[in-house]
Amino acid sequence: MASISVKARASSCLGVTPPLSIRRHVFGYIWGGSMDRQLSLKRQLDLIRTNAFNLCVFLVGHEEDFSGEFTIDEARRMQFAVDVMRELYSQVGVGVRRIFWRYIPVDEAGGYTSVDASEATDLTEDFSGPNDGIDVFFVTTVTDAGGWSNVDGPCDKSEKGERTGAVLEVGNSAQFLGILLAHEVGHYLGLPHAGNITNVMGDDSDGDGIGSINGTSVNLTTSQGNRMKSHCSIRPSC
Amino acid sequence: MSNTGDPPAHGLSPPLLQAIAADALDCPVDGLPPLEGDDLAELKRILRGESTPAVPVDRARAIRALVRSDRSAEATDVLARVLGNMEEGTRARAVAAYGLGTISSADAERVLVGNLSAEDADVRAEVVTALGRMGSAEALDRLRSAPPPANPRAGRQFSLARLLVALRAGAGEQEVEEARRLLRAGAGEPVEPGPGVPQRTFESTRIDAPEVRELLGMVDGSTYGIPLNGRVGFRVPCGRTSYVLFLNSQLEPGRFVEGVRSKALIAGILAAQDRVTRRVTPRYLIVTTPTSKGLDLLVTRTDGELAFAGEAALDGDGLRLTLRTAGDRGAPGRIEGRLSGSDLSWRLAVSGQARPKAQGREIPA
Repeated sequence: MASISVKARASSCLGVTPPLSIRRHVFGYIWGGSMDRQLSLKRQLDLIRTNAFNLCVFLVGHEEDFSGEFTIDEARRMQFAVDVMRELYSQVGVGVRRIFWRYIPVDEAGGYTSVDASEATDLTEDFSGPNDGIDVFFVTTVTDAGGWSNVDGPCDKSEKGERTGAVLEVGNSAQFLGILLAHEVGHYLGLPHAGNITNVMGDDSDGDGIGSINGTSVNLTTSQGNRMKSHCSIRPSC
Repeated sequence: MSNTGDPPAHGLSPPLLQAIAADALDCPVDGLPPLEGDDLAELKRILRGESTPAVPVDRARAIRALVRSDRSAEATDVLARVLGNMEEGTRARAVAAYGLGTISSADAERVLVGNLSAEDADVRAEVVTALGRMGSAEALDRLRSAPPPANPRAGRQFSLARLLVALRAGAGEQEVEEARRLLRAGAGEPVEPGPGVPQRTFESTRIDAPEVRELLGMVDGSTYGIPLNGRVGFRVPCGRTSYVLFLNSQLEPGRFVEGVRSKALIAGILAAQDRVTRRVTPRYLIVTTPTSKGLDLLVTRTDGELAFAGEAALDGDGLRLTLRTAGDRGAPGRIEGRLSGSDLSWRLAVSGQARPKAQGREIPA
């Protein structure tokens, strides 16, 4: 029964057919390495059916042979971060359905490997993934923060003038990068700062719009989950 | 970090630990307060290599902490050491260059100029960007003689930096014209919406003090070394984004036309305001150059990508503005407006058919 269910769900939700790799096709991970994955296959299959969104992950300044900005360890760290985000979102029933892994080669990335707030917007203005997923750009350096994303980002990526994706610096521990990723994508899905450091959306105690998060920022509330589920990035049930 | 009364083994205060530790599990990434007193002094010792804490240090994060905490000559010296040290990582050196650009002192500029030939292309690009934000005549000499980067995007940033520095330094007409030519060199032919193409239109409205001053207080990012006018500005809602046009304070109300006709200048900064946080981020620079018939106008993104180009023709006691989309990426658009001595009104019509973005390449599984 279980294998039939996996095949059926993989076909209807992910558009893949046997032979299937659970790691590659169901979870969308393309690099090897330890993942410390907590989410069961059954839970993942439930999560991707409803209230799920697709993710397009860009490695900015990457080369397939890792001669660009990123090492294989950093690529694995990004993958691990996606997994952490997936697990954090699972607590409110929001799933990550498909993951598109893309890269911007070194010669096209130009100065985009190191960006500030304005250049982060330029980056998303110049590049985007498929219109049915949230774009996440990993760069070597964000000079003025850990990452940038809009609150309630657009689903039409032809939108100009605002970030049509989240931009993150990869230079963090894998676990924290996952929290940071969940934080920035949370913004994109409509969540403001939470006023609570133990929440994924962190604290903005001085009200300047720049939030703080740390390793304890792992909780999400039901109302936050509901807000995320109402975002236009959430795909139809499959 | 519990209150047991015992000092932690690493001996760092919580704020300093949060500011520098690479093991980020207890380290907010942004929004931290500036460091002061002993913490700031210890941070500088750590960055100078005179103190080695018993925790792994993220040097780039530590440099960010210094940049938000201190603008002194000592901070400049610390950043200069990091930037000039080839054993530092690219991230740390890039953030140091960024930081020096925010300090905006003659010493900081000297350090940046000295690193214009940094062997690391990413560091070099950040040095160029920083100089574009604050450089003066000293930087102009070096930018003029430095070879432009081969990478197109880095080349645009380099051309923009050269133009901005030339304008800030009050360089001669020939110098400014050459810099403008370089900036325009890679841009496509100006385009505007074709007949029958669905268009969206947006119009500016004037805003006055105290709203302008309040918005200036929310600016997050460089204002390119120009003093901004706190008495009058303009707001343009543009789709989901609201833009604010801040004018150079050299453009005094009542003398707008006289101001822009007097010399080439960075006439204004167009900044996007976040709908939720209300923070204001500079996104475009407006460069005006007097001509015999009126003005030449360029609107560039802050990374040097030309967005709009056009002219303003003398029209009675004012100027009639016409600009068209100039870059390769923006949707075809046309800006029409009028500048009088004390007011500016403009209207943007942009094609509903945006040009496609680049999509990168798929990473094979």
